[in-house]
Amino acid sequence: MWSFIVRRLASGILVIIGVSILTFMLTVIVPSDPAARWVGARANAEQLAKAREQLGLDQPVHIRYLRYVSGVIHGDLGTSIRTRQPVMRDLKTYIPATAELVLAGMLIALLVGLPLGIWSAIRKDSWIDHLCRATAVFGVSLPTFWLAMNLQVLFFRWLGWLPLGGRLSGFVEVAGMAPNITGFLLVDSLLTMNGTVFFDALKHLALPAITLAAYPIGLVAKQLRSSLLEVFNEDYVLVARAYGLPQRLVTYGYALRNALGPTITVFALCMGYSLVNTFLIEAVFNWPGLGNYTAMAVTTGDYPAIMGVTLFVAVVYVLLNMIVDVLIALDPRVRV
Amino acid sequence: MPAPLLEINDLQVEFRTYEGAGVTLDLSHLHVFEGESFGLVGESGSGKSLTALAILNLIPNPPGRILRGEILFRGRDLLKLPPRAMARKRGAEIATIFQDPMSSLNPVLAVGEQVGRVLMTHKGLNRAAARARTVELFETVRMPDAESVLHKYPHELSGGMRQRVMIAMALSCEAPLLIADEATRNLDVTIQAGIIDLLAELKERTGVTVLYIASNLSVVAQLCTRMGLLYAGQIVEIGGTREVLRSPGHPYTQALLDAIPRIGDADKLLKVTEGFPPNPVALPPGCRFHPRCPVAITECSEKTPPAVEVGSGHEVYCFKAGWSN
Amino acid sequence: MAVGASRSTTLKKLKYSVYLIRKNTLTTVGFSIVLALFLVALLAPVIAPYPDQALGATDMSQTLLRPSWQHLFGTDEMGRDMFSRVVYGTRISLWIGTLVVGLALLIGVPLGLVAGYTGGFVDEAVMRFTDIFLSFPPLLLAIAVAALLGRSLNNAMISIAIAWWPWYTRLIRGTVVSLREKPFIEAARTIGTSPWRIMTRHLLRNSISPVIVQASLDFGSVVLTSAALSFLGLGAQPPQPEWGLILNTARNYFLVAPWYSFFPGMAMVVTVLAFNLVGDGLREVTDPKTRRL
Repeated sequence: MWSFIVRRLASGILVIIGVSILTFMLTVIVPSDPAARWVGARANAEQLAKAREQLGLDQPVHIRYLRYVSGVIHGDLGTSIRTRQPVMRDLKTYIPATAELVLAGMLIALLVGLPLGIWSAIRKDSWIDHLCRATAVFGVSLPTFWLAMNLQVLFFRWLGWLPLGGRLSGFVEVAGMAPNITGFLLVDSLLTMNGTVFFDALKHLALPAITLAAYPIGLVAKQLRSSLLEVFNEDYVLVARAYGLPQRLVTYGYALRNALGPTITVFALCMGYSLVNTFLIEAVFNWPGLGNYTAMAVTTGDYPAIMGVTLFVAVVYVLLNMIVDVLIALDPRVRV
Repeated sequence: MPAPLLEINDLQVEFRTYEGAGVTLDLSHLHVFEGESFGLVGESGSGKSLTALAILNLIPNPPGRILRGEILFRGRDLLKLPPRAMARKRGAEIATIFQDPMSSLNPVLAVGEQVGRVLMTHKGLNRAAARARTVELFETVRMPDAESVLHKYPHELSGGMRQRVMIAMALSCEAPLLIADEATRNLDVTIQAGIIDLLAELKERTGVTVLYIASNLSVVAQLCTRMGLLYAGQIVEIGGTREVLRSPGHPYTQALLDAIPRIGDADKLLKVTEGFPPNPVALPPGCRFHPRCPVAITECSEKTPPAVEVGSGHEVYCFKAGWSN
Repeated sequence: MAVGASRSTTLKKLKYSVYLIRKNTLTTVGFSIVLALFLVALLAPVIAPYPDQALGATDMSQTLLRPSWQHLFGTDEMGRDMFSRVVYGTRISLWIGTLVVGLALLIGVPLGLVAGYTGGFVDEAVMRFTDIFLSFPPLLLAIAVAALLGRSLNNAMISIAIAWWPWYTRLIRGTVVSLREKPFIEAARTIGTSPWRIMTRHLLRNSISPVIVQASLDFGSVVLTSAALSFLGLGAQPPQPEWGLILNTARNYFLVAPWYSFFPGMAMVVTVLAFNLVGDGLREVTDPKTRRL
């Protein structure tokens, strides 16, 4: 088993190297000249050449790759054309907001999706089952940004309950009341016992998190339902019933334990999808996170930023998959 | 004569498939007396496992349902019991050993835990007491190294050991009726012998009533005092094991016996009965065996054969009962 | 699974499959909607009341009108009839789905077949290569590639296909690897069947069902992804009536004209939903565990 884990880690590292090569190749075959973009449209030939030298564009490809890799290892992902800041610093600034959103969304997804899956499996073919299945199917079919916009119309324009976007209300930001310890507003405000900020942040987090949760809810509910139904057909559930074990024990103690495995796998794998959905959500809700950063990078053609984010997200994705694979291997029943 | 422990009367079970609905089990009557071991023999698809499920009232409800009948256990109709009351009987008064011990055990729980759960549910024991009792049970079923097996997972045990776990589970609540549904089918022949011996010994010791469901005539011949033969969901012959095997009254029983190869007949061809058991959706009229029967007469394709008593307690459902005599 | 299936059993299985599909109301609904969508796309010029507006003609006197009998879905900021645009958008979306999934299948399936059957170094190399692609969330890769290729619908389609093919390779390779040791393949090898024939005749037929299921589900995902790309400005360009692009423009007006984003979005939901239902239904039909015979 340990040899499997080591092999998996090794292959994960290989994949990350491959990812870095792919990302780098993408930067190389960029159709427009980064140097030109750096100095702007009105530079003369001399400034252009200087910029090219500064950006290291005059070196052969493999040297550039090695520089790129050494840069990455040292935390240097290049400099953003738009913000003129090191991309790494930009990432550090924007990641916490995205992380908070993703975590909140995933939490909601589990809290809603798991019960939904369980109920619809237990009450198969009843109206609850049909309702849950309909919800699940809609969840995975809704375009994220469309859902986001309609939620805004519903909760902001018509009901007036929740704000339109952003992470904090204007007055809170201006008054400088937001603490910044972990970068997670909810956590920070709890730590500093700051109720106003907490509730404000919560109200702003609500819609984006719910929008993000829609797809995983659908996925989790669907998968849990089908895994549970499969397990219910297994012999050992029949045996449990044949020995008069109460229904609740059978469902939660016996069946669920077996059904959760594939469900968690599916959930972890959809993190990648959610990560990118987050970008769209941030665009609609004006959430100051990685996605917003990327969206603006895309609109302004800020290639270093795009590549930096791509590399970062890909590495996170690979690490996530590795963790999932290792966790599965740790299960004593799984023979690898 | 004392009342039977288990009495099945006029039980009909129907299954729906994509081809339509068919009656897969049609038992007119089946009695099992206290203290005896009864063998129910049939080929695959004859409905024997369904019988076990019906007794437990666990026939899966889409495709199957019980059309009519009563299953009397100690005089009370199990089919009319409310679900909670029935659940209390399962395991505590009727214990079942199923045929595939690997799939019958939950792969993510330790085997000791699974047996312990049954004890905790029906006997109200706490964890520690359940553990202790489980170890005792494992020793009764001759499980080597009982203490350490408690914490093992099913995939870490051999087939024979898993079946012993199932037997231990079956014995845990001292249920008066034990149903063994092809309990040795998926085991190696040598292991089978061990399990059969164990079952025989346990029966001797505790006097438990056993309903043994099998497709293997020899196992039934070894273990059971009375037997019944099932064909296409119906009982075709029922009686004392010795008598039925020595003088079978039904052509199907005779065909089964003829198909057993004997050591002296090395150069003879095996006797084969042509055809297949009928599809429940399209049952033949009259006797269900008549299309394949070597001695069928016109009546067989028109009316259902009644029970004919050919010996003491020996009944045959055939118009030509006792034809071979 | 059709291990060495003959003609007559294939027919019987097909009949059973159709029965299962019809029995499941949701799947039938899905199929019907898909059929309807294709009809709408085909008959767009006939159905749309203002076909020229769908393709870009503007009418500044009719901007941002609420839904009415003349304009079932209202009009946009350039006075174009939303209903016509949404109808024409169906064409684009179905075209995108078909092309992208088709392309991804064309690249991914042969690669997976060859890798799975050949094994050894070829298999390892192909799997590492696909792993690299698979290590990116598909949308992200599509964004990255599309950003580089330039903003157009065709480039968007190419980049999505590039992001999608590895899934099919991995899927079919897995099935092929488990099939290749089966006796019927060994038998074919023994009688001298050429590897090409083994792959196309035996392996493909038996490993294609999960791929078909996935492809149906992916149709919807691809439409969503292309809409996301257009939303970011990377895919379709104005004045194409692509749903994602319309939603992008709708962003500016959705508080004052909520119908602007509602209808194209609904169209997308219905399309993706339909393909999801079809894919789910196909999965239930082909999965040996749920197929109770």
